[in-house]
Amino acid sequence: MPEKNCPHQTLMQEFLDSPKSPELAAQLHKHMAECESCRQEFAGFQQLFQSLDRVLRPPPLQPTPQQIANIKKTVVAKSDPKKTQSAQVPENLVAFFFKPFAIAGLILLTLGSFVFFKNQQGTGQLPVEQPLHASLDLAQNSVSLIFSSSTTSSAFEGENAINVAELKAIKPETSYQLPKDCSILLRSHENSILLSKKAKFALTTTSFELHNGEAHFKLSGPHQNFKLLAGPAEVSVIGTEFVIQNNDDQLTITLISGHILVKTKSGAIQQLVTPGQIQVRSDGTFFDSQPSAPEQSFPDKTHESVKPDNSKSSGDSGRKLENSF
Amino acid sequence: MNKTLPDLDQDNQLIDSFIKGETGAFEPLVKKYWGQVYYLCLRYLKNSESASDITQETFIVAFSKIDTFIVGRSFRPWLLKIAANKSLKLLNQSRSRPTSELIPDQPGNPDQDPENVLAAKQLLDDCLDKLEFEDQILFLLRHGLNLTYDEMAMILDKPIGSVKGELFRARKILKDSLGSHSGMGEYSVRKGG
Repeated sequence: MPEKNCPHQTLMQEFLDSPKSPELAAQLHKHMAECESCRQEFAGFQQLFQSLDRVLRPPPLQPTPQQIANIKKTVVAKSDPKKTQSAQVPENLVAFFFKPFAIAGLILLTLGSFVFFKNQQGTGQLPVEQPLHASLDLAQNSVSLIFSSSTTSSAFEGENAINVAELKAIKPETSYQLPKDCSILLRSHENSILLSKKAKFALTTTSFELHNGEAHFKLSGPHQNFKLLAGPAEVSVIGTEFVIQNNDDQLTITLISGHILVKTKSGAIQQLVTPGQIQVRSDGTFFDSQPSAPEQSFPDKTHESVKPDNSKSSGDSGRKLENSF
Repeated sequence: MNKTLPDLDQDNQLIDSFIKGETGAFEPLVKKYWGQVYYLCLRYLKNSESASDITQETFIVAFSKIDTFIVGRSFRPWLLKIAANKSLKLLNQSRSRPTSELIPDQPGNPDQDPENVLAAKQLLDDCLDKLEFEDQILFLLRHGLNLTYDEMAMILDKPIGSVKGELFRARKILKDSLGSHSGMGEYSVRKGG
């Protein structure tokens, strides 16, 4: 019988795992020339390896056409719910977007509709205290979106645990399934880029950061502690609809309904309780607020035509969107 | 034994195409890895219907979350990890480990005597079934799917050293078990081949 716990047993397996190692082969050969029990042991392992390799090899199984169709249907539905509409977007339009000189004037980004749910009435079905941080960065010729949850870091923690979704470039009509019933929809529409996010969060603390670009928020339902970080200011959202434009030199917040509280980096605070506009300089100081046309509407149609709000955005290169999410 | 570079490149090209909007690019990958994913799920779940469902779900999750896959890396272990996690999740939900084995008959090697292959398979299956559940998975990953220890460690969320150690131990147990079942002191199902 082979010696129990003989160190050569481990060497045997090492060798059979990677038989190309000449040092290992020489070592084993030398030992087995003198040890009958290890020769038998090695033969046993060799046969075991061969049998395992042969018997455990997966059968050449193929999915049925129905299974492929099911996967395709679900994947397409999850990733691209408006596929048919996106196919109608002219390809040269996308190319047009990415021309640097054009993008400076045309990138209109609308980020829409957060609906926060906080059902705290004891059912316990909603996860709590899972902060979601989202950042939006419009830079150069690309848009990237990064959504992440601070509590998980792996993509392998379950079907709903996708916590990092990054878009390297704008892809029209693309949606991403996010945790907790969130989804993002990117939409290319005429000569502007619309980005919408329809979300239902069961979050107690949420923040959103707008580095550069424009976002449109429309919130309804009970929600708390939602904060928008944008350049020099932090906007506390209290149930409202507003558009925010963050440029390098100025932040403009246009309130459509509800009210908002704006606190700048310098500690200054302004509140808008009626439709109007707040402008913040990059150093965190306020321009004087101006009344805004209350009739400016953001109809709840995702494919409403986009046009600049020329009535009051003097020289703002048409960044207002008549659209909502 | 491992994935070849062209294999990796091919997978990555398909994934890249899929990300760029060619939805049809997923199909060759599904066909290529369906058997491996299914077989892994089956080894976990021991139920062909559940394994088939989880296999399908695995591909749906993988392609829905393809943004989280780092292009340039090997797709197969990433996919198998999703399959393993989904299978384990289902097992945990049912709060019981499977007790019966349901592995489909495999075509075997046509060069070999079918009788020998069948006998070897039967004996091996019997002995494998008596091993710890985790050991069965180790054998499948290493010998059935030809994964490297690195890839196994990634899928099982364990250090490479632990994976190796556990597999070596399990091989020894299996070899001894097969030997005792064959009644010949050493494992042998050979009938003259």
